[in-house]
Amino acid sequence: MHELTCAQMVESITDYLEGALPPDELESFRAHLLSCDGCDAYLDQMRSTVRLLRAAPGHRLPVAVESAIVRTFREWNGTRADQ
Amino acid sequence: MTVDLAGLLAGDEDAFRDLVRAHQATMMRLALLHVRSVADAEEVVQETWLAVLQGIDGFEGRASLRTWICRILLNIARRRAGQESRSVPMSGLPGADGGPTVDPDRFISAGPNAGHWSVPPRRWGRQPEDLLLAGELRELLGDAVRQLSPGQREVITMRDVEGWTSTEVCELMEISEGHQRVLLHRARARVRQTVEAYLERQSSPAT
Repeated sequence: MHELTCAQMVESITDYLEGALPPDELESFRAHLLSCDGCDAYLDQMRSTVRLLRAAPGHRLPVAVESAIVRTFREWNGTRADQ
Repeated sequence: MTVDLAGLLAGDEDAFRDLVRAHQATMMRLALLHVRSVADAEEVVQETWLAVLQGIDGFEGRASLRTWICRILLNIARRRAGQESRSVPMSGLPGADGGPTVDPDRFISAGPNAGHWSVPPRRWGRQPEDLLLAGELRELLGDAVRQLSPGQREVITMRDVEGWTSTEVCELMEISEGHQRVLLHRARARVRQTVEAYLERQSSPAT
């Protein structure tokens, strides 16, 4: 098992979160994490970032646009029925 | 998914309306990654549904219906963004496309501890979530995502905002799992850095 630097740790963090680290690298990653408060805090920040993004507000489609789309469907359906 | 499609093909208007409603938020969000205004995004969604109906016989069910619909939307939105180029600012920031995702100055550069934190990150605790509730962080996060490269923007939005799986996102964007992870990594690191800088400004107000 080779030791990772913090600079290497931060670049492996997404592979770690995605479960994509090969077994030997996963072992090194976990060992470093246990002994490094900075990297543990960085991992927390990345998880926090994902949670923040999840709360992003969205836009609803206005009723008029929805109606226009449904009209398109009706027309499409009419042409299909003719065929 | 097959139920939706069967309803559609049978001309069931209610089934179609349900489908439009179920996907509206995702489609608007995806469109807004590429076009500037809400009105333009609404047009992209409209155009997408027309294309979906016209192409429905070509849907082979290899991807899920929502992935297929969103892929059509992405093509339309990307094409429109290309026409009105510069509609969304591109990232010219360091670390956007290569190199380290954390400022090298944060690490010790030489000696036995080279590569270890010289300025370690601090724990955020509940601070960002509290600021988000207060509405302060929302705009900042939106801007941070808009400033990413188009690919990074798409991946982080579908994975972290919409909660899609990596498999779905790879199907949507027609990229490999490895490429998807690289884009996600750079995007998350960039947004993290933006949040960190904001929190630093909060805790050390200008004198």
